[in-house]
Amino acid sequence: MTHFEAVQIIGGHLTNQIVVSNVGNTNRELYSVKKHRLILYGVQISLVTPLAFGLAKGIPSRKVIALDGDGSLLMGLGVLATIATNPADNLLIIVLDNGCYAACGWYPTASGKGTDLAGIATAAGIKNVRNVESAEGLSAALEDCLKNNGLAFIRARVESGPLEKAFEPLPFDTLEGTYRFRQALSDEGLVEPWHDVTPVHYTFSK
Amino acid sequence: MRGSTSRHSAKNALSIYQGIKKAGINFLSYVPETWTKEVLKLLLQDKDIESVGATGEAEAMAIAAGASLAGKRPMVLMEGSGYSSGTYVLSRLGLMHHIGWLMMSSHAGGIGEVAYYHWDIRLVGEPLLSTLRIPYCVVQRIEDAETLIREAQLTVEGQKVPAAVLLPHHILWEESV
Repeated sequence: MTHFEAVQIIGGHLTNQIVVSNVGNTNRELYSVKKHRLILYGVQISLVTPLAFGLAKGIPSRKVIALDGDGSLLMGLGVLATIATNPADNLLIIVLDNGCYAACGWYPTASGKGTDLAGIATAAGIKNVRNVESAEGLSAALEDCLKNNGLAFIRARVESGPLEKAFEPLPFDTLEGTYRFRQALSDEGLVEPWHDVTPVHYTFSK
Repeated sequence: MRGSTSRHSAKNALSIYQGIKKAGINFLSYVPETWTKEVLKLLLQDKDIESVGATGEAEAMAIAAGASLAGKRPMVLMEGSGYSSGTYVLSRLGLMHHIGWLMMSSHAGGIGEVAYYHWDIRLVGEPLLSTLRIPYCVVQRIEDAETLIREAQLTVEGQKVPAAVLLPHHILWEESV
């Protein structure tokens, strides 16, 4: 299973979930397969899973997906212990593990040299950990984890190596992407409308 | 010598907690530290504030950023050294994504600090916040705590940026000399 195939499978399963996406190829690939408004794009390395966890805690009524990478998760492994000991039933962490820093020259990550991320998640205390290596395995794990309540972690092994095609950059920058995401949450009725804070004295009548 | 007779000011910790409540904070991510432990104790006892203990300050900030996007009023409670370890999060999620959250910390960089191991915090704490253009205030009188916490939270919500409230030694401790 290539990285892009995995993203296509994930995109195909998205309905009303909130997604926090890693930077780099994941970002562009996901945008190319699904114009889903509830995706926060371009969250930098190590911040995807903790930010998704905060979202999941704040919006318990909606499934939240952290679409992370091995390099990103390895930069902040402690969050797995935090999440395991403060579980959010609506959080699904997906790690697309290509064993390398794909955007930076395919240099190996620790997982590319043998570190077992699914094992770390289990050792951290996450009960529902899946380790998949095929498209069928990912699809089945997704269906199960999205259908059922409960904290879950999917480590999906994907192929590393140069991309076969270049994906277009997102047609918005990080800031606009965040504002679009916040607006989408508001439109879904999940958060209060995001409005300008106008000082009260502006509204005083004479 | 400072430290041998110092004890936490329960009265001031209560005032700070009450200020946090009045500012509407309803989500807490934290890394425990010595100076603010009485404030943390009060926050953890409050069933209306959801709390998450993080493994580090950067992680605590990223969790707070997510909670902020989710419509919560989050606060990060930590040691002042957290601004150093959280710089990356402040610049990425605070400046680039324009996500706001309140931060509260000890202010070991204040005048009167004697611990040598706080030298680095004294040296880079406030300059770091200034460099990152993070609005912050130092609570010099406990009577001002409620107002400053409220104003800092208003800055978070209005400007959509992180903001910090720093608590010096004389605010958190009694018999400090």
